[in-house]
Amino acid sequence: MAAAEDAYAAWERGDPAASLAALSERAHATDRWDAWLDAGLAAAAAGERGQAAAALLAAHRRAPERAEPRQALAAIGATLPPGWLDRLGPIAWPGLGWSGAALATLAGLALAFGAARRRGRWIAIGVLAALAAAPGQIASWRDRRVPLAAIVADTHLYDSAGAAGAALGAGTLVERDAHQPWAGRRLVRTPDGAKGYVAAADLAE
Amino acid sequence: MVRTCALILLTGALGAVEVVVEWPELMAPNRAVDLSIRIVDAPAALSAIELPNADGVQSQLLNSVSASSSVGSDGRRTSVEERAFRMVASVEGELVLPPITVRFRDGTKAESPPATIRVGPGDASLVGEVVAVARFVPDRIVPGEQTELVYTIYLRRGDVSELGIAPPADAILLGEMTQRARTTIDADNKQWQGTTFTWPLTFAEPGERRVVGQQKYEVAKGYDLFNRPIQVQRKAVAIKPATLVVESLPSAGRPDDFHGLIGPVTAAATLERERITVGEGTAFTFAVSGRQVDLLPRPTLTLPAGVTAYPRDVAAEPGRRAFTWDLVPATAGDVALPALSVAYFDPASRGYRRAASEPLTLQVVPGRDQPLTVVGRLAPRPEPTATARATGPTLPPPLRGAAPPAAPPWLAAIGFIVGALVGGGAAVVGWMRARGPRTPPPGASLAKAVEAGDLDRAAEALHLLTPRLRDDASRALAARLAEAVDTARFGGASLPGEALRWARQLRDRS
Repeated sequence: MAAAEDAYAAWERGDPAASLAALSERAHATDRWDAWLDAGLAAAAAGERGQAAAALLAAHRRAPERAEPRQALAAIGATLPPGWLDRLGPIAWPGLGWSGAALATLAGLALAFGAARRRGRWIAIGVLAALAAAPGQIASWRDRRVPLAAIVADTHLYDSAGAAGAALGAGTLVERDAHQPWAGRRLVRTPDGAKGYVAAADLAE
Repeated sequence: MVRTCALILLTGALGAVEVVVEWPELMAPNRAVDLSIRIVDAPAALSAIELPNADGVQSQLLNSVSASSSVGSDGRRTSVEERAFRMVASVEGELVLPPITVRFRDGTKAESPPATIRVGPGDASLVGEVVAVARFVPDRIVPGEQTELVYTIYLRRGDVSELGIAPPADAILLGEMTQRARTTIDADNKQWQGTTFTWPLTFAEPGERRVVGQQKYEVAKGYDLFNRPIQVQRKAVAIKPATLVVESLPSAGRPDDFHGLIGPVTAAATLERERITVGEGTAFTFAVSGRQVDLLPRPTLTLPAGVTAYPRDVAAEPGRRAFTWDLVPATAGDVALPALSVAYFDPASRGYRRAASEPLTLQVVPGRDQPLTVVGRLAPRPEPTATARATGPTLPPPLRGAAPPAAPPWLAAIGFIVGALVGGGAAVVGWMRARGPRTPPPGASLAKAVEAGDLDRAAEALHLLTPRLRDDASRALAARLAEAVDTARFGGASLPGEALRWARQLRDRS
């Protein structure tokens, strides 16, 4: 904990770049969504848009139901495309996070008990709990798997002939294509719909 | 074989009435050539055929007429009528022949496409039985530019069943292979059958490509009674190779916004409505047509102050990409929409060019005035306390590890399984408890009780056991043992020595 406080100390003094390495290391070590968020916020405060977008995207992947990573990405100009959780809205809320786990446990308990003892009321409770948990769980599962990647350094979109095309600024979110890497590059689609190749080293997935 | 396939493909591809003439590629001057006109799916009987009437060409219909019909795999019947004609060209050079007009008795007519043939001495390169030539047209391109691999087989005699070349392995095919058959002549004015195969293609990487191969063919020495070839000889001839040079895109003069587009490229801008009122919106679309347009990002639209543009989704279809903005002007007046352009490489000039749209003007007229009557006393207008300014999303504060940990994604599945196990277990436990403890069979209890000298338990076990005994001997034995137990319980006497044996016998019989 003391080490964590030290990681924020330089940031509090107005030097977020000095905190960046420690926060990033902590995010990798704990793999917690809030650690990734803080690392992304520090990178954004330090002007490292590419690193910030990558860390915030990692935070969003680990907790897609939380608004903070999405808000921070929007603040640095990398708007996430609307996901299933956005589309479902309040329908997804009961099935998210710990309440979703509790509902799933209740569903399993009630369904198994009701089926074993042939109690219709217990089965109904189990079905209701499963129905309440399903939208949030499915939407969260889908949103974690959106093939987004962050551009970590200023680069260009290359065409199939290897010629550099449109410039891509660090921090841009792109959609990865399912194809295999080609000549060290990955096929991506930019937010404005253009398709092209980006050096794999410039992408954080 | 190749010729037959070409004819079948041609006939199969035809739909309505069609006039087809297999023009020769090359004709000798002042030598008559017999040709044929095929009329496919004629709507009525023929009334007249107007042969080409050009300078230096004389044509004459022959009496040879043939007609046939066939049914395709789709069940459609196709009729083909063939008329022969003789043509003599007296002027050397390239002749542009007008269409042949075929008139039918129902008043309709059909025309063959215009054709171009060469008249001159025969092709001296045609020697032997078979000549195969491959070439790229054009033979020098940049990555992404289209070229065609053109492969022509000239047959003096013999037949070809498979092609001797194919496009290079790294070629990107841009369409289907096409096939065309035309006759030509050699230096001795002998007729050759030529078939040309064309592949449209391009390449992604610079470098030199060479297409080589051997063309196999078969020559029959004769034909049997059923027109089947006999004594077939299989031979091969070297194909004249084709070479293509794919050059790198030139760096000189390359615009910053070049995205790999290869010409021809066209661009156009349109307005959904050119005249709107204040408060309304209209859609502005910038469409680019050409190959590889999916590489093109949305261009930057610079608008005059007071007009807000909201980009819509990009509409993409093969060979076309359209970028649309919803324009919402805030004030009345003419809004000049600038010309937008995209950079592309022009293969013809080997340089970079721009395809630009025309500048447009959007007329914004004031909305109609609505008189507004205010009643009551006007409240004093509050002074602004702070300068209002538009704010975008801001960075949230760091959480410093204070946020609750997110539930792992697998937790719900584990919870469901654990819940099911616990629920099932609880159900089983409840069922077992409802069933109560298992009691041993009364026969065994009796034997144990007698052996232990527990007379009360022995009496109880006998009471339970007796109704289950089926034979009289067992019941008599049970009665005797019951009497001995009761005597011992209430009379104070000890159990007889046989009591344990009786009890075991009853246990075994039950």
